[in-house]
Amino acid sequence: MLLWAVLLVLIAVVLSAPLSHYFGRKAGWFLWIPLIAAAVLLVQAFAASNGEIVEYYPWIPDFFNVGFHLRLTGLSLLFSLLVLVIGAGVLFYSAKYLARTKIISFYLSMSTFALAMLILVLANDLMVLYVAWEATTLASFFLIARSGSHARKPAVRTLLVTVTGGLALLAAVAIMIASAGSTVVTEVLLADLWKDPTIVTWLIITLVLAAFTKSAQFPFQSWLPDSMVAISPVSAYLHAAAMVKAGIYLLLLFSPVLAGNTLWLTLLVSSGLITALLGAVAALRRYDLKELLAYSTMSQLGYLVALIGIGSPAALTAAVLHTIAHALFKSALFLAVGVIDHEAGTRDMRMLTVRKMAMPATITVVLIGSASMAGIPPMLGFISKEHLFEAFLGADLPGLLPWVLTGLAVLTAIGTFAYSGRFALGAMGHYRSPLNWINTPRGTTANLKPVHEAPLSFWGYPAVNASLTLILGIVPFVLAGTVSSAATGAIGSPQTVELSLWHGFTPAFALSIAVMVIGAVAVWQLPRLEAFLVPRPLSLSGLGVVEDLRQRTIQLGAIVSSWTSGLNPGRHLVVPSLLLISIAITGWFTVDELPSQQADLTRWTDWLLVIIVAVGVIATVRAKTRVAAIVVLGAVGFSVTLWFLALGAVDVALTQLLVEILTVVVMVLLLHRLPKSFGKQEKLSKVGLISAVAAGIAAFAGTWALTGRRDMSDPAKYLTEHGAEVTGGNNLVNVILVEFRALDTLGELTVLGMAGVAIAALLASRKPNPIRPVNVISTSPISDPQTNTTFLRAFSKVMTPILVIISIVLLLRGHNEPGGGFVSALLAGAAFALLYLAAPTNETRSIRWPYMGLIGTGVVLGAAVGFIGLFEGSYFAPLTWDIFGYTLYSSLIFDFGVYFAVLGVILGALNMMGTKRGLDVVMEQPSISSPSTKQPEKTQETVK
Amino acid sequence: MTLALTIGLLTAGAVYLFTKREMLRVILGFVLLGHAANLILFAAGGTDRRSEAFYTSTDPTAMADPLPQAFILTAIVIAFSITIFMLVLSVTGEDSDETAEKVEKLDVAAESESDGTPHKSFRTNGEGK
Repeated sequence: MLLWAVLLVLIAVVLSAPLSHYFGRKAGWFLWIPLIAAAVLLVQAFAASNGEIVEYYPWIPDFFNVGFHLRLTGLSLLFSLLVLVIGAGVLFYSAKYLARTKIISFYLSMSTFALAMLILVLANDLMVLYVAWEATTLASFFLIARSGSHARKPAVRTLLVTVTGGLALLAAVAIMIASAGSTVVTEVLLADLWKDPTIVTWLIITLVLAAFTKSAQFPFQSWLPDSMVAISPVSAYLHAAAMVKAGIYLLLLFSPVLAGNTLWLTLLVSSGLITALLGAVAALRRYDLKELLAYSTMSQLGYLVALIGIGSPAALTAAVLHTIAHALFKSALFLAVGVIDHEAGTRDMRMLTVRKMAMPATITVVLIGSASMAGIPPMLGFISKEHLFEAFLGADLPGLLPWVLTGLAVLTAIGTFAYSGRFALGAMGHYRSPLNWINTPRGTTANLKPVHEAPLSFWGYPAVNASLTLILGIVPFVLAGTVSSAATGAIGSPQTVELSLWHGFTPAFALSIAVMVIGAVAVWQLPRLEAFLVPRPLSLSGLGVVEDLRQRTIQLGAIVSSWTSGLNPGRHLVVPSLLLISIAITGWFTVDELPSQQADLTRWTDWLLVIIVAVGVIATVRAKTRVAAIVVLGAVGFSVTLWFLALGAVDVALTQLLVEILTVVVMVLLLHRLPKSFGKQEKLSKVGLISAVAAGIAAFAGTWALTGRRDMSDPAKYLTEHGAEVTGGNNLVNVILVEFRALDTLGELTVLGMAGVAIAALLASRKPNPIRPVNVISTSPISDPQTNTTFLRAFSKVMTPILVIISIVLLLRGHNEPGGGFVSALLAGAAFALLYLAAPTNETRSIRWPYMGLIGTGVVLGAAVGFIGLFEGSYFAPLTWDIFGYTLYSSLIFDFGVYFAVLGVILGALNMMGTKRGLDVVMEQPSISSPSTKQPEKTQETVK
Repeated sequence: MTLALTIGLLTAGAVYLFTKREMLRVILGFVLLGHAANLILFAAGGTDRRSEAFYTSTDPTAMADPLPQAFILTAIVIAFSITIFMLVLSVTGEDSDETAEKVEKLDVAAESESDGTPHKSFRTNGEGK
């Protein structure tokens, strides 16, 4: 059942890209459904169980029996619901919020994020937990980074901080697995390791580091406001439901075994309260509504961490309750800010003062949310704050400590009240600047138009959360069951929590009244408070260190690379040549005796080939013009082809031949962008000549001394004797490529595809040189390309289809006879090259296939064949099917993958380099094929 | 002997071209070096058996070693794609593919700064915005 919930969210991930492709931003109206379905499934399953559901699916049975141990308890149910329900709401909301560009990256990252978070809170296996933790880190990085170039640095800093925490978690996981001998969380929690003080100390340090970085606790707090460059739905999800709550979940998960430990208590309580206070003060100084909320999140999480540190049942219950309250009001507020930002074009409270905010619904959401955040009855936030005060007052700590902690909590609560009021006023356009400051925008540039209400589908979801925070505040007892079971998980013993709006005249109630009174005064006196706070920024930040570290690392890299820098590749390339020579010299002195050479190594015809190669190499080296150099290089290539033929390698020879042709074609395509002849005539440079001759001798001597002195290797013997019967294919080279080392070939296909992508990226980022003007005399027969290419065009019209058909024949028969994916794709590529050569102008682009799509198809097809092999027990296990008397091999499908990928790269090269339009396509949009690339519309995300 | 000689010739030509300043010549050098490397692989399998590696047509005792052939086949195609990439490199950026004169222009340290002026906000918790 748990697995089904995970799979449902996985469906959302898989569908996110195609849905956003076809429906654009409206994909959000579909994507929330699987998340809600998963939530319903979990709730039903939990209700039918006795408080715990455990499932196991094997993953790595050989290593500590690591597997998909999933476990649903009250605690994980609560967090799953936050992740799924708020995630679904955010997805629904995004359908209105998003701009019309970069939709796919948003929905893909968001749904991946939801999946990772769900697995994280359901994981009952430490390895699964760790992988999911890191997945959330990566997904959040992409969500922040996709906002554009200004988001790059914040995204990288966020990544650096959270990855540090991830490494700490890895250390903790390793310690636990090594000490407990199991990866199952429930078994680890029961193990003896928690009695060893040294291990416990290390575990506390690593776990706390992981949780602090994830939940933005002091001194790692600053990534959270830093990541505010992301769009509002992302902020709402990251800060209300998901990312930061992962740290809280981790702490709660290990709270049953660590609560009461002095180090745990000291670290969590001190850091939590510092963060809470810092965040509250910082929030009072922000003008950007979203940034204000970010600091508020920090502050609220500080409360949670401090509560977990205290560790008493009352404190943990309060933490659970406050987690719910915070998730509800914070997501509502973030999303409401998104609505304001979207409609007004700004979220700066100073800019909003000159606008008429004609958006009653959104403002109501803001008011309810702020009231809950401030802890005003009858909101849920009031109830959770009451519990929080009670927990601090009742903390089992020596001396005056409970009073000190309560005092800090109250101080934070006053700050919270003040910034909540400031937020609400700011959002309504009633921000009052300190009396003597003129910081409201005036003059002609300010936008004075009234801000109108957004459609219902936009403010609907924030309104749902705001209503929940109000309704649950009035009837909190409906939450009692959820909170009780979640607290049970966090405390480790069964709990029954009773929730009510009215607690009676308790000390906590007195504190609440005090907070509200003083807070109200603070809101009234906000301009004075601000005048005091704004000129006094706090510069305590762990992120400064991170930024310094990042800069230093880049500088170190620059220093190291400067040793070999320079655009002259000779400086790099001569080094390996010299190493080659020194290897040869070392060999000369150390190798004493060699086994005797085999008898039949050389045939007389070989000497002819040596002579052709020698002539070709010398001509290449001596060539004066670029055209000549390319032509004679081709001659060398053909003689190498002959070498392969002479050595009995038919497929290799065919491949070499076709590659040689295509290399020349590609070179010719680019040649007209380079000067005709090489630079000034130099004499044979002595250094170059000496090192070349020495390297040549070294290569010769090495080959002569170290090869041809043993019989065929054992694997080769096996292949020649049994290869055919094992695979059913007679072409041994082909069966090695597509069966014995298919995984390797798949890797090489990927490299090939990446080269194609890299070419596109290179051409997109740097313009190629202009085409060199050529003077053709007007009477020359080649002056008119139309007539000049008539013959070739007529020829290619006939030949290209024939060649393509031949290439497919070569592909199909590759298993038994010369051919196979590589050779046939190169032949097809050559056929298409013929079309290009026959075209009268550069602009006649004959092939309009999506070459990037071809490359992708090829690689994906190859990988998919590997997965089919899993049915036979292993990745790439070969399969055969008998269809109508023919035997179909799975490796043939793999060969099709090879065919597509290689053909894609060739077509890409021809299109991108050969035609101007191809170049333009690359420059506009690296991946063509998307029909929805119309005129870019006004993007909301660029609005600051 | 003959194969070793071919390899020596190709290597010498490649290294000589590496010392040249035009990017195109360096690329040609790479192509030559690619040939040499492929032939070395072949030599490693031995050149005494030279009949095609097809099970039907040959008796296994005379069959050439198929293992290096499979290596070389993909190596050729990969080398081809790298060659294309380098060719594109040679025509982008500057007017010519000459390299030596441009050395002074390159300042790697300066390049690393190009990802923007230091972000001010991190020191002051976003105060700089």
